[in-house]
Amino acid sequence: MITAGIDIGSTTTKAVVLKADDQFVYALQPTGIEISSVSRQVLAEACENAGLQPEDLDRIVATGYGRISIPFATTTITEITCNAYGVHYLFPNASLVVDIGGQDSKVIKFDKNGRVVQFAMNDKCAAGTGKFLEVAAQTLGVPVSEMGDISQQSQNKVSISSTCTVFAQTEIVSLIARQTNKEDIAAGLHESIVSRVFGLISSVNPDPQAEVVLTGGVAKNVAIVNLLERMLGRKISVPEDPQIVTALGAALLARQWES
Amino acid sequence: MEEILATFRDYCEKPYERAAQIKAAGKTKIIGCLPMYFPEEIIHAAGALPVTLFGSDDPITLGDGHLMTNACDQVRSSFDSLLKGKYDFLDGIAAIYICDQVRFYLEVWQLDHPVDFFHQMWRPYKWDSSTQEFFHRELKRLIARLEEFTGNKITTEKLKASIRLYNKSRNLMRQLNELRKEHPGIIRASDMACVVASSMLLPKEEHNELLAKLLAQLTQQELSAGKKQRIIAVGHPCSMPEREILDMIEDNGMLIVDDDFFTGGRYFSKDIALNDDPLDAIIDFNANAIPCTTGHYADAWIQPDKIYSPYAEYVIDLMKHGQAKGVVVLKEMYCDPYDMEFVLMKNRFEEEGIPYISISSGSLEAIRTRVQAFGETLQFV
Amino acid sequence: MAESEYKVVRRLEGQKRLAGMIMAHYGGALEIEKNKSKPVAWVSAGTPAEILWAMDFCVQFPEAYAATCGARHIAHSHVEITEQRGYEHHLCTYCRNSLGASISQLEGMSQFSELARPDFLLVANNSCILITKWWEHLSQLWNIPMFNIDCPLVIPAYEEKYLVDHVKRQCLDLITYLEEFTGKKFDYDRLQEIVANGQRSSKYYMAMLEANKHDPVPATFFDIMGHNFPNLVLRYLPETAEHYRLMTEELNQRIADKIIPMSNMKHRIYWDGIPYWFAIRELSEKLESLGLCLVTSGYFDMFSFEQLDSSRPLDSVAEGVATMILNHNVSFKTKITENIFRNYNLEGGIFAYAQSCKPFSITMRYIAEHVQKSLDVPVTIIEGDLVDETFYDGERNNMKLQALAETLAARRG
Repeated sequence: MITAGIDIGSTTTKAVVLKADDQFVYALQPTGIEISSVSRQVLAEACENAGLQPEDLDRIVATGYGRISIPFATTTITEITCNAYGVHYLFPNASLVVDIGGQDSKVIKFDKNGRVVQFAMNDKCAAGTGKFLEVAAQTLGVPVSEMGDISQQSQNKVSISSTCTVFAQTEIVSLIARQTNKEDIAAGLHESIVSRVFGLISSVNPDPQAEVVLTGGVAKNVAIVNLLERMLGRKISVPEDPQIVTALGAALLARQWES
Repeated sequence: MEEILATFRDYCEKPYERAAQIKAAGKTKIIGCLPMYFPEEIIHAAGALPVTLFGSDDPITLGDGHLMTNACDQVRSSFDSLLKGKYDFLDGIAAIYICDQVRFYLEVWQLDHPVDFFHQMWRPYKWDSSTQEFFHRELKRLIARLEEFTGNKITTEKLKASIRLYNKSRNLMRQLNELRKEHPGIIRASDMACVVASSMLLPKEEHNELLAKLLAQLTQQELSAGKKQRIIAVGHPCSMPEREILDMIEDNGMLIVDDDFFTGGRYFSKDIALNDDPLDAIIDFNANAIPCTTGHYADAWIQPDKIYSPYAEYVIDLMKHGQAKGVVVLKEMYCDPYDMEFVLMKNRFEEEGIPYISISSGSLEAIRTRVQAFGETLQFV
Repeated sequence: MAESEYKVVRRLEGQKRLAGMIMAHYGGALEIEKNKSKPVAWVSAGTPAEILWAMDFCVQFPEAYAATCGARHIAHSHVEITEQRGYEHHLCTYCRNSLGASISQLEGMSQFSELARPDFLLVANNSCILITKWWEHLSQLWNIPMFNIDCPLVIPAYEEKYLVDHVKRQCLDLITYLEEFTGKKFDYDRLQEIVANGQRSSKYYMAMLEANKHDPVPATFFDIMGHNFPNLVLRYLPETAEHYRLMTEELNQRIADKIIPMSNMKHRIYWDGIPYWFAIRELSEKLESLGLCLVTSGYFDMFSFEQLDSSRPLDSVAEGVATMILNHNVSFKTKITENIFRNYNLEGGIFAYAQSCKPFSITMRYIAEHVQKSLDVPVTIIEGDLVDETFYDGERNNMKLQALAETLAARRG
């Protein structure tokens, strides 16, 4: 059976094509407004990477916030279930995933079969998500991809007190006006994100020995990983391609789907 | 003088250092009290040291575990400090339910991070002869539990002595407050707040000594307000006002001559009027305390032609007695009682033509602009 | 459950009767206001309304009115009025709906049906102290007297006797005041009659709720929750008990006739918190599509008035006020919730966080986490508000509900 998973996130749409021999390939593109057509395009690209045609797909599972807009999907499954399952597949000993996405942060506890036991999400404020870093990076005038490295050079991290992305922006501007260097500001921002996520983690009562996996776009940020490891007191696993784990989970679950 | 002020500031920066030292000496039990209004004198009479539990400036991590973000900062931050072990030097925690958030959440403190002595206590929101009876019972219950916990009997004499000591402390603080009303600028508002806040973190005996020294030095100075406008600052319940904001106000053409902060006028304005029965005196003190936005003042609301907000009237009186030109209201985000009362306050201010500004916690830059503008408008009042 | 044996009938017969009772109440109150035949009182849910009914007041409940405003999507316009007057966005929206509606009424701006204008206000702080501030603002707007009953939080350290005495003393103060206000002597016999009616009504109300222990349920929580209204607002009337008796009969008949309230009944689910009054239809449809059947809720306990006892009228009224379910510690509330899960055999929980209701929201996550841990049931917390639609994020909530359904399905199979 050949299956595909499409994860339509608020910023990026990802597609994973999973072949019968368990090999998988992926593609991704910015979501934009034309959800349905972008999804088709991303899926087509992933199929091409796999040397296949979209018609070769036996089943397609759509996930992510735009999942209901995909008429060609066999079914929809939430990103909670898909994320956990995808992580379980890549890290069979893990039981907790922390996903810091563009607009949502989630923590999912799952069992040894990859089934969700409990999950928690940030309440509506975006201060614990990728958006926060994006806005901050813009304000500081640095590329988002460099924020992690910049923050690690800080000698004297400042505390960012704002719980809201919008107010944090003003706070950053005033810090800059007071000659605070961007390394220290970046360090404070990273700590802010991680501390918001930490609250979510404690709310699902994770096993202190649990293997924790970090996914989502922000997972590639070394500073976030280090901070989270320090707060949790253990090493964290990060997949090679953290952004596509949910789509992979969707493709895997597609195999098990019964009408 | 600067040295003593620096000492007070230091106590505010490292709030529990002194208490931890006393704890280490091994002879005194330390009981943490959540703001506001806990009858500390009774704890003192049991031979224990009451310290007030403020939150901290740390980013809130563990404190968000159970709480959603619409809890006020004081509640989240102090819960965060509890879970991080910052209060581990305490032998006990005690609180009255100052508001809905504390009332419904307080037990979680004991469930999540238990201490040996945990005391929830009801202080009536409405004071009359009927409700006072329950409070009397509550005071006796507190006494019985403290006696059991400390092994010390709280005699009438001991309680009277503790009340006298606390009255002395309040008296010294009132003297300091009178000085700043007469000679605005003689002490900065941020330092005044530190003086009061630090009294909640030390044995009163030590604090009284230090404060008396400061007063002796201050009375030798003479200052005039110059071109700065006299104002009062109110609000900021349950916490230490942000010193930066107070400094910012006073650096922008204004001088704070009086306030009703928890770490301010609210704490020291009135004494417990001792008579034969110290418990009666404590009840009386609470029933006649300066108005609080959490209180319901039945007399003000039961007569159709006499409906008003006692708190708003108190603030206006405070302003008049301080010969102030305007009011700065420092609001705590997500504080229900204060935000409800504020609507009545602003109506009254507008009726009386009183210049006012309200500041919620937020970015210092945004606050600075508004404070500056307010200072400027006062020039033309 | 073999669905083919069952027939889906969504509407309850009792719905018509309920609608009639609600209309009679609000319409009747406006008549009374017009004729000035009785004084009108606005009271909070936890007050000893029996005392006012015994003194022949027309009693109205702004909280119930707020729910109606939410359901009819008019709350937001009321709430906006308060924001213009300086009320902060985070303040309770039941309160701000009520204040906004009052302002509308006073300034002749109402576009919707209103409550009869009040002459007197009674409030108890057993649900929260914000409600006391709310009532103060009503007092100021309408320029009428208000009376507050102070209720200590119930903790194991107290003997119930002292809590009840504390409330009873205040009830006696209230009676003294009302005698002056109305110029009439308080009729203790009438009180006993009213308490007897309330006692019967509560008995049948509790019986009605028991029907949902059956699997499958004859009605969902959303179907039944509107029937809280009579026990809260009309329990002093003899016909209220009859309504609940008939409801219980109807539900038991549906069980006998194999009638179910929705299709796709896969999982028995608990609802926590005050319903999102403006989103009921949307939520019902979503839950049905996911196979989630709302069986019951702790919300019902607020309207049970089980303590009423005509052999001790005033004492039992005071007892009910003093020990109202909301007026307890979180460990007590957690235990109650766990008991409901066990008694009704529930598999999962939806905890409806209301942004502006701090007493409910501050303990919600704690209770949800502990129930999940101790009973090993999946739960989710959705976000919204009592009546203000701007706090409701349908997208995120739908995702969480779907994730809950997926989690439950995975456990089964």
